[in-house]
Amino acid sequence: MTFNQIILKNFFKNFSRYVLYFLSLIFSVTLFYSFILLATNEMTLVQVGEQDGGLDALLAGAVVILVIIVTFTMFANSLFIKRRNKEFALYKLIGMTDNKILRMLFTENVIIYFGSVVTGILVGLLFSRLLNMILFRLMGIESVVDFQFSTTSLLYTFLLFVFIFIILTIQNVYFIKKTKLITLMNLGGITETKYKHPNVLTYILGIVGFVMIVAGYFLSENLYDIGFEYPVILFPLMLIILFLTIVGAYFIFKFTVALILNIYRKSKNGHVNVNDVVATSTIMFKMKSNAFLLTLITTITAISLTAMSLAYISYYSAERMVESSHPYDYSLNASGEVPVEKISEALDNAGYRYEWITFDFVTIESEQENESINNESGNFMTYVNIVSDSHLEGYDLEGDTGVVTGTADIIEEVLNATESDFFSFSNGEYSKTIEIIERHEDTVIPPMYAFGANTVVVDDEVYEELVAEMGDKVLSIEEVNSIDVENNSMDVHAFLAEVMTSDDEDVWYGYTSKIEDSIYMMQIMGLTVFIMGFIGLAFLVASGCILYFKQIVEGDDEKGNFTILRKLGFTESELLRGVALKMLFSFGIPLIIGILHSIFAVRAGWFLFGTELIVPTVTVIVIYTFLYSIFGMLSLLYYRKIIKESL
Amino acid sequence: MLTAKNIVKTYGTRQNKTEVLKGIDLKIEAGEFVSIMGASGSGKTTLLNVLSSIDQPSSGEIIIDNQNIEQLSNRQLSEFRKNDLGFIFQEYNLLDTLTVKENILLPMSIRDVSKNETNTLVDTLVKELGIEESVNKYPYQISGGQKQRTSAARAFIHEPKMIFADEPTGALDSKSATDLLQKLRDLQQKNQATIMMVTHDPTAASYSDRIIFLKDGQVYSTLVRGEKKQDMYYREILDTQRVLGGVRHDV
Repeated sequence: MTFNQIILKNFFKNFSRYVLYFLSLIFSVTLFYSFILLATNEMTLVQVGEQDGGLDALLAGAVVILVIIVTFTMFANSLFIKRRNKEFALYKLIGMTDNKILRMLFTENVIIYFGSVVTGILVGLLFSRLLNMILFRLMGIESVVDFQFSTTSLLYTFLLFVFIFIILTIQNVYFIKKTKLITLMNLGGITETKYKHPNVLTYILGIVGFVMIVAGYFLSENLYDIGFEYPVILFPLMLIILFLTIVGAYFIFKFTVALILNIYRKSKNGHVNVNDVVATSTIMFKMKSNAFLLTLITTITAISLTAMSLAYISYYSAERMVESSHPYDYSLNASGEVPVEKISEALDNAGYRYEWITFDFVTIESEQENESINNESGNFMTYVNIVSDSHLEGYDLEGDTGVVTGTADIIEEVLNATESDFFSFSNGEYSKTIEIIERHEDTVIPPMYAFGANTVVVDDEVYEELVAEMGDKVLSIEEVNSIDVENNSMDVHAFLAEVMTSDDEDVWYGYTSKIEDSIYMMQIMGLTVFIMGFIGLAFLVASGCILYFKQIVEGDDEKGNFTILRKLGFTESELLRGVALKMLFSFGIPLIIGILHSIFAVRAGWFLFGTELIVPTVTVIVIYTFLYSIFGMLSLLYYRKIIKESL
Repeated sequence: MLTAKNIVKTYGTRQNKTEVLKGIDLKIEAGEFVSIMGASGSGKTTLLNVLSSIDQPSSGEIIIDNQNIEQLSNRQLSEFRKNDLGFIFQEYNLLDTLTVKENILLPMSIRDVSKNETNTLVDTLVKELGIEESVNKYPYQISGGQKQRTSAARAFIHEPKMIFADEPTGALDSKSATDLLQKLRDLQQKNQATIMMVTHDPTAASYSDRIIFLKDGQVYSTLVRGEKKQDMYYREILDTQRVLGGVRHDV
């Protein structure tokens, strides 16, 4: 048997150990390949390219995924090479040169990489078809996905893995050349951190970590209150919150968890049960030494959950937002008269059933009291659009009361920017104050007419009075020319777009179309959700795999403990229950802190993205937790195998 | 065969230094079987690691077979280990993925030796060590004693000039231990190999020609077997150990 044969046999016999490494590589290739395939696919390019920045977004997504893949494979590689320390020590002892060991590693990696790149690309080809379908569905594009094999994406994927391969080879060379033989032989033993008795500092830092997180959450809850008082510190405040939550999480892993478990163990006074031996004691040691890694995973979890939640909130609210800013299907505008007759005739001829919505509104200068900005009370001038309730369904106001439309209550509430509840109009001898009794999210005047001014619905009598009395304070009286069409569709949109084209160079026509804006919104949001989901998935799998690999290494280290415990008479299922508890801690604590982080982060800014908080956030968290727990289950299965074999 | 001059080994940082070996001089003749004994923490294993090129001494000189191993390059060191050294450890250090025979052959596989030649070598070795039944089994299928003998066979297969053994009987019961030591002794005499063994077990040590006792990183005393009977030798070992204040054994 030659050396090469032995090495090959060793490799293939050891294959079960590499399976997850192999699978994660395949996953990385699949992820990258299908993403690139998608980003370079002509059909996608045509569809997505219509959106401003759509391609840039895809490209940015690819870069993020690339960074995740490279970091992740480097981590996995270093873990796996360290796991084989005994093997390398043996090779060195029998007189193998470093170069020969490296050549062997190189050969192995070529097999692993070539295998995973080919498999990954094949899976990616199937997968990307599905992905493209998901993307188009999210974007509301109805087209048949037609996939051709792309050499560009093949090339990119290949280049990436050559790049990763070079990096990992350098990593391996460094490890083999720099690690002394004595270190290799003892590597397994060194990882056991020496147990230090908790001193006062540990107690203090344990509490500090907890306090930091709570303080971070408190600040994020009150971010905008403080920010409005002192706008200058808004950005530093965000950085402080980041610092508090990230470092706080680190302290929790490093000190707080060990501290709590230590107190718990002391309370047991030496009467430990199987859970204490298998779970709590190892967690006490391992959490501490893995604090950095766990903080990283927590941060990754928090970031991806926040990004996915916000993206999903936008997507979820997109329809609603279009709805609330477009009271009518089409709103028309022109430099001169809106060609109502011409349009009606055209629509009639085409056989569409439609309805014109035409009414006037007045824009008047108003005095408003405002206390919230800079805390200086004083009046300032603003323009207000006034609409009579007689034109609007569902509005019936009495006396000097009014309803503000087109502003979301929630924004006012969260921003705490309570605008004045009164609008005052005065013109020398005449003055009128309107009390605002309600605020409605849905606007009554399409934004193309409203010009960003507040829109207030008042009683018809008040409207007439204001128009008559305010004189030169009246800026303009505008006409709303909108159409609602029965069974509105893109065909109607195209038809109207055609009609609204002016033949005369001096005449200018403008229009907004609800259906067009809605589709546009869906496409932008769909693309965002897709990319965020994709990156979130990559983050999820990367952090799940890292935790899983860690558990494998820990499990192998603990094999001896299991042997002792089983010899003492503990049953397999008892040990497994202890391990399950340990998994719950190891996977659960980073997840829970990550979820908490993201909840507070989302709460701090969600209203800028959409109108619905609960449903999208909960959906994202539930799906994430489910996928994440799969890795916990995998670790548990691995432990079960170890426990079974331990006796 | 092996000469060590003023070996010092320190661990830790400049501020917090622990001196494990405090200037050890020793000389081992070719074909000699030498044991190193001493209480836990006396520096036995560190000495073995340093002498066997696994670890580097902080200062001092080590000459094995007229070569100063400090002056060898990495490549020369590998070559040296490949041809002249063999190792047996307390943990057996076998690859789980290879059969007993393949594990034994591992040192041969990195050199150009004809298959027939190695096959006869393995056959005689496994017969002498009494593991011919298990050659095609995997390490997890055999007992601790068999694993340790496999590991010994691997140390002998390339007929090295010098074998380093660190507690080779540590994990074995007394029957397996004496079996292994007897085989080790036989093989050593047959091949004229030099053995340096670290042990805390007086029985194991009583198989060697000479015993060096370490205390706090220094050579405390030396016992030579000479023409003594093994049980007399054993008694002397126990007496020395008692004086040393190490592990106590009741006779």
